[in-house]
Amino acid sequence: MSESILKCENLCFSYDEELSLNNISMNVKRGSITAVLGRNGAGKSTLFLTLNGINIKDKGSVYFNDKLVEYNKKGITEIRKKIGIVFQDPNDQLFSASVIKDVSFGALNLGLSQDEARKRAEKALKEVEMYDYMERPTHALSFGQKKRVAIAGILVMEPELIILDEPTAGLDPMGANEILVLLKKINKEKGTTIIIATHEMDIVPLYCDYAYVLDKGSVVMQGSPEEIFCHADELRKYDLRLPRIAHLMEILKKYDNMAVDESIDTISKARRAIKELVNGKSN
Amino acid sequence: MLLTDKYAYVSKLAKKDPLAKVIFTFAVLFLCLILNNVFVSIFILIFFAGFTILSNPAVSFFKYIKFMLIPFSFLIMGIIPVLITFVKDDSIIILIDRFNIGITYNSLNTSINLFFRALSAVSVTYFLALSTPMVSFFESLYKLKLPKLFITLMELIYRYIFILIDEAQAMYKAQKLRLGYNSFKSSLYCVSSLAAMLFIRAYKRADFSYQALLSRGCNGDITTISQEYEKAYIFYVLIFFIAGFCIILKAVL
Ligand SMILES: Nc1ncnc2c1ncn2[C@@H]1O[C@H](COP(=O)(O)OP(=O)(O)OP(=O)(O)O)[C@@H](O)[C@H]1O
Ligand SMILES: [Mg+2]
Repeated sequence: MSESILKCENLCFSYDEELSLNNISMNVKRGSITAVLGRNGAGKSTLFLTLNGINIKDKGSVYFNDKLVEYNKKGITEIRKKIGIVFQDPNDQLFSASVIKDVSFGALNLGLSQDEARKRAEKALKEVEMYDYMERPTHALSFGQKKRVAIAGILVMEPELIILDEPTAGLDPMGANEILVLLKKINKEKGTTIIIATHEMDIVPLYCDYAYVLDKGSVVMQGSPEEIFCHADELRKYDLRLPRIAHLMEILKKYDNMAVDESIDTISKARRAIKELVNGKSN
Repeated sequence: MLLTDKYAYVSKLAKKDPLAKVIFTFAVLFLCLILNNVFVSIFILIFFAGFTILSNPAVSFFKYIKFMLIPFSFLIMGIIPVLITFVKDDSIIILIDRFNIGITYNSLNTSINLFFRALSAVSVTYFLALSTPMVSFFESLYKLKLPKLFITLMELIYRYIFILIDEAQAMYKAQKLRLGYNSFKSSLYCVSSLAAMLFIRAYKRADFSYQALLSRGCNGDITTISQEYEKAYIFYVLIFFIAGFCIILKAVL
């Protein structure tokens, strides 16, 4: 199979007169974790809904596994089996008053038997660490817990590609971290490709292989996290910021004239560089 | 139902087959209505109050009384017109002499009967509400072979009531924080804008939720797994015992 799992070319979509997606072209590699960045209203959610056939595109083409996706009834059903979307607001997604019923919903829609669906749902709930809440009513869960259940509801379908719209928003630091570790694990073990829309820059270099920056419905930057974070000024133009560590490195270099590499964007890389710097000087 | 649902989850009977409970409840309800006897009503009232309190650790005696007080005021309001009628000759008390308005033996009898009948019916319903979470209740409806669309709608409405309440509460707080509701005029304005906003939000939410359902492969009807419940034939047996006891009660007294 080829490297590309999802490719779109010149995708356009508008809710009203204004173009919400303007000639979007992107290519997502199989087995990667891709970040989609952009300020509020940049068009991230819109892009996902368009890929999924919920918004009907005006123009452009989408390829899944190198096959052109036909946005007719059959094609859309097919694509929805392969691409799972976790919505920004879990309240939009959780429709059932019972956690286990909600989670199993997608599995049943795949045509699995009741037993199989239950097994998968229980496994997914264990994965997001919500197994103990199975019997609880949905409305008695906290926001973060709802978010986990929403993620489980998608995991259960075992899609080839999972799109998460701001998976860490509203989670406590530990919870956000756990979710990301979980996603990484799923990515590693099952080879599931993952796309994350996020405003949290610090997670991008840690978890993502590639990143797209959207602004006003267009792709304005793309590249590996290192490549993107080298262009701090351009990023700021789109109301985004560097990861804290990269920002620190930038300041060290600019104002303190220290010879640090600007592409450093994680704590571990920074640690190594600082150690080198210190040791280098003492030698 | 919103109030009682929370308690239903901790009931010792929560895991029992909901269909049995529903049939049990409706059978007793029916019995209580057709027998139409004060003693039967009082017996059912006491029996179900005890049953509910014993089976649900979260419902204490006082809590139960509190629950009972909710329909109480409506009940009293409903009883008064029955109690006070035009008096002919069998009066107990005459309240307004000129119009012959007062209480008669007959009206006293009917109103006491009505009072206990209604109260016992409420206690039976509370038994169901306090022992069966709504989710299980819906499941029993599926087993009763009611139209699927109808139950699915009920389920969705039930879920979204909570979201609507949450949103309304959040908006209300936001308005309060910005000094809304501080005069009569502003109250009117705030309530109207809250209602309008709620409609718009509800519409938007419906849209999003529909999209979310679609993206999980929903194709028109909503199928979920059915939960496992412990069998509870005891309830069917109980129906006969209660029915027998009530009929004897009616015959003897
Ligand atoms: N249902 C809709 N009807 C009309 N316009 C919409 C609708 N949803 C979004 N838009 C517009 O489309 C543009 C892109 O919105 P989108 O929700 O995709 O942004 P986003 O990148 O997901 O932002 P956020 O970070 O806030 O989630 C915005 O200008 C928004 O106003
Ligand atoms: Mg969004």
